[in-house]
Amino acid sequence: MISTFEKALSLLEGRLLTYHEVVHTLTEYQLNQHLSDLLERADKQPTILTKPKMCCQRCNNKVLDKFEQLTADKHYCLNCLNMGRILQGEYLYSLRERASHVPKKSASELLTWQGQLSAEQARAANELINSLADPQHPHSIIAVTGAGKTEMIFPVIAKVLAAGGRVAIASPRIDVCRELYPRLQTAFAYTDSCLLYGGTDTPYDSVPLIVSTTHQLLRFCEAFDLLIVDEVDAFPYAGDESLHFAVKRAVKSEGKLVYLTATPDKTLEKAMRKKEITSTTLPARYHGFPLPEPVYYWLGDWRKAIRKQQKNSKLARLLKEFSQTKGVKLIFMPNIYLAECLFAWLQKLLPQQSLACVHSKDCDRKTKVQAVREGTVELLISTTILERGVTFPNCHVCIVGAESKLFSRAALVQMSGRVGRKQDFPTGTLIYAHEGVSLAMVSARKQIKLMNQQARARGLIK
Amino acid sequence: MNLRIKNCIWCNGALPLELQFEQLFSIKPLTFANICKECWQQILPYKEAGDTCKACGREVIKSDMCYEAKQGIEDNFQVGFVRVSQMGFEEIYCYDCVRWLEVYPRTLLEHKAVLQYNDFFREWLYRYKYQGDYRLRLVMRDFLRTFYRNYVDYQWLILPSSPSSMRERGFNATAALLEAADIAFMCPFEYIGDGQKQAQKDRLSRLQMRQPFSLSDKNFEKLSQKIIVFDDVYTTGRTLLHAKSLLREKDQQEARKAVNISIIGVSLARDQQLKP
Repeated sequence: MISTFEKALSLLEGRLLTYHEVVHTLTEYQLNQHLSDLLERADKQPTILTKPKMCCQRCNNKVLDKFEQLTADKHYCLNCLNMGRILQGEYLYSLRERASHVPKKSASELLTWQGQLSAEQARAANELINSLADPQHPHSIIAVTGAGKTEMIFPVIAKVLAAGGRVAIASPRIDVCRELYPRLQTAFAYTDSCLLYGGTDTPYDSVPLIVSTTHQLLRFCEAFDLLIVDEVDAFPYAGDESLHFAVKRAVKSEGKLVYLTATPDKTLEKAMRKKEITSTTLPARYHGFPLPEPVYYWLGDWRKAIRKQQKNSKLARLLKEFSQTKGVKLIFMPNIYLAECLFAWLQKLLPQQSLACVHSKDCDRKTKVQAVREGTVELLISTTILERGVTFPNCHVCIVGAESKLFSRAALVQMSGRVGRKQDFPTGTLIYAHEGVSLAMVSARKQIKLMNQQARARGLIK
Repeated sequence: MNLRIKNCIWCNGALPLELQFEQLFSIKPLTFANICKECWQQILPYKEAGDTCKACGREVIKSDMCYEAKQGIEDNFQVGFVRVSQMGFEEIYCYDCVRWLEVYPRTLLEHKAVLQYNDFFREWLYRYKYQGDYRLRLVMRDFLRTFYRNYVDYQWLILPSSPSSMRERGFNATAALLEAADIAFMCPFEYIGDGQKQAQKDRLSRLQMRQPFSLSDKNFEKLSQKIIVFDDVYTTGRTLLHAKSLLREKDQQEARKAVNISIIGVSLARDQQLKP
């Protein structure tokens, strides 16, 4: 039994919090009596540096336009405002980890996952474990969608945990985090774990295994011995320098940073070429079937078809036929408005189908995705929020308006990757319905074909 | 005018700084929007639609119940109660106001809302007051301006923030709003408070809160006959009523004044909470 003050100390270890956040965290555990002692012990640094340049110490924002003046000598950072206001003149508190708590179990005991890694997964897992020896360079795993990325990180997590280290798995997407967390909980049943995202009900706890959004990493500093960033090329992580900064700061100096993705973006590819990042590529899915290749289908003016609800349009005919397929059907739309319009129309057009529509502004999306999993909803209209991290058995995908500039190559490859992920249903329908082929569509199809080719060349496909 | 703003301060989307044709010939100083059209359309001015509470303007569903028979349905905030006024008219009041009427005279309950309480407003309030995004005061600037035109002859008063929320937030939420809208105001009250943050209290303890303000005679003498007490949001009406009843008390003490002062409570929106 540790003392309450020890508990209070452990809550601040490896974290970087404002005064209010410290108070809030302590209140969650009713440890407010330790507040002043804790703040005295903690390392204190100003929230915003003014010299030589304005710089937010939490998110490393240096753009002058992204600071707002409150009073004459008080600015606040707009870049990380939605994480709580950082006000000039206040302090950020952090505490270095004192001693690692070595668990009494070995790596193989900690890992309660019963499954078996395929030969390819085992190769990646081993390369990952070997890469721990070199903390200077991040390691990346480029694995096609449905290769079983999550399983192949289990051995390395078990190893680090057994050595008394702290592990975090971060993703830019809340949905991905929610999906990952239960899987990790069952895989490490003896290890305390915690899920962090904006708006979560469960408070932060100082546990060895954390699943978090990349945004939450802004509140960590030198905390993790192993930090795995899943879907590194996803919005908002890609292109957000402060999140990159946060990720690098959250890893201990001797800790290891690992990137996972199916669709490396240009910055990652460049870093890999320069050998700044070591990498492992897995071109085949774990079940040994090739990736489904997309079929192009020309729609004509599909926006007009939706707007005027034309029953004889190509879109209507396509979707009618698509809805006849057995299993879960996903229709991806470029934006929320069009998704809602199509949803309203399809309810009239396909009255016997059970439909639902999800997008980022939808509060019920958790329950709707659950309904699809349970089989009560068969056809789901979605924006790109479901492009990653979700697995439905026997899933078919139709991307309407695939030529939209909102669908990047990565987005298309990811959406295509929803098809045929399970051993029992390794294939499925995949349609890019469009009004003129875009470059992203061509390169997405090219990438899928290339991966299949590579896998065939190495004899990984049955 | 802050010309540095190039993005919508609400959604951070691009904000085109378009010069209007009329602005070319106008002698008025140039003002540009700081919030984009899509966001702007979500803010709706208050409009009386359907049954509303006569005093505070909350949307209610009229029930045949007399307000004396209110017991038993205490947690339904949507019910509107019928009350016969002294003039013999039937008037509808919401649950909160029915209870205030037991303590305060009808004239003291007078309240006007500037905007409708909707999802946008709820988020705005959260981001402005609790997250402390000072920029967002500008969102309400034009709406307050428009509202102000009808109440120019009133003296606008604001309420003081508690020292703890002032320290935390760094600015007085209501004062910043009026400053941005270029409305003259003063704060004659002093905060004596009971130390608890109001938003963190539950409903019951809010209602039972004691008078947190004080008003010195010297300050009271400076006030004119027509007074508006302004607050950002009307939840139970407790805060505004504290201030208004304080003004009324002072007014009745002073025999010098021949006519009673008229006091209106104004808030940006009336909270439409459905659950206690």
